[in-house]
Amino acid sequence: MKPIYSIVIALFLAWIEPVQAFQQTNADTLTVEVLGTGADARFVPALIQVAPGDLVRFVVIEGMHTVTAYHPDNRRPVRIPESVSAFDSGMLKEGDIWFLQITKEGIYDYFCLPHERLGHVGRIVAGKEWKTAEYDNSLIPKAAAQTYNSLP
Amino acid sequence: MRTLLILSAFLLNSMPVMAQHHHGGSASLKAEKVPEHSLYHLKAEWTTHRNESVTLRQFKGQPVIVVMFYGNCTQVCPILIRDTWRLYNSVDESMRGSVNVLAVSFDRENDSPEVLRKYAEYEQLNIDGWHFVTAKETDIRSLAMMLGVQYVKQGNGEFAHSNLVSVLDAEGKVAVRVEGLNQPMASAALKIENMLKQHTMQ
Repeated sequence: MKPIYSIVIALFLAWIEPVQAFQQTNADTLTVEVLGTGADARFVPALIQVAPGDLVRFVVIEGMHTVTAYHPDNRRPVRIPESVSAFDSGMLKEGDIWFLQITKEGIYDYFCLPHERLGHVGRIVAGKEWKTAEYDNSLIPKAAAQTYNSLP
Repeated sequence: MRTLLILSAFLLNSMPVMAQHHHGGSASLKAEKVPEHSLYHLKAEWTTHRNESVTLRQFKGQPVIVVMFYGNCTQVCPILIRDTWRLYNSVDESMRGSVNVLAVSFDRENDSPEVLRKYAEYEQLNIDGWHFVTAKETDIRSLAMMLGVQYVKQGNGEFAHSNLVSVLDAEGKVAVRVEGLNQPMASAALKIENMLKQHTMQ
């Protein structure tokens, strides 16, 4: 019987270890809802603060949207920290959920490709210190700049 | 009348057959005669976002990526344009300069060459080989019919339309059709590269 007990204990440890490893990171998952179908398209909240390592969970409540980084790879001016790769969710539809992991401190600005010109943009601030973004709003559509100007 | 006859003959052939059918290209290429299914039969003049006039036949000998969209679209067109760019960007960099892109607006009312220029600049696509164009309504409709793109203007000024990226081969025939959004582009890019290799060897 002893070998059987050993196998059971080994299996139990193998199962529990990843869970402990995950808990040790203290990572949080924060949710941003994506709402609207046209001029009312919006990220709620449009501004969130996270810690490096956190996951941001984008949940599409209605419409078709993207979560796309302001970055030259997405044919836009750069508005994410240097050395961070561009991200792009691709098209998301109602009911879709998309995760983004933030790994470095800094300010991450992103937009919805279909609705950017209607001001559908959002911002993630990663880090303990609440910094003011120094990105040039003249390089993005007016409505997008207005959304950023309205953020705290 | 000639355009109507060509369109009628063209439409008698089903699009799926056309998309898959391969003609012996090399002999036809050397002849002056334009193949039956070629879009070069369209004599339309397109006005680009650089306010230049182009015809499809000008691109003879090179593959052309064609997409139909409209600038005020806040639904799928930005994604359709991004898909077109993904295809273009998937072509080997050394060959990309031989690929043309024709982004045809079906919103004549709003998408003037000036508006299209601003659109191209903001999308960072005001680059060699890319042409955002408009034309007469009949010419836009004829091209749409030949490509198999459907569009209709709705009461709110928006357009309901197909989501299609097409590739014309060196003779102006539809060689690739990528239907839908966010589709993988590797296969279409490979076909473009093969077209260019084939054409170089001739």
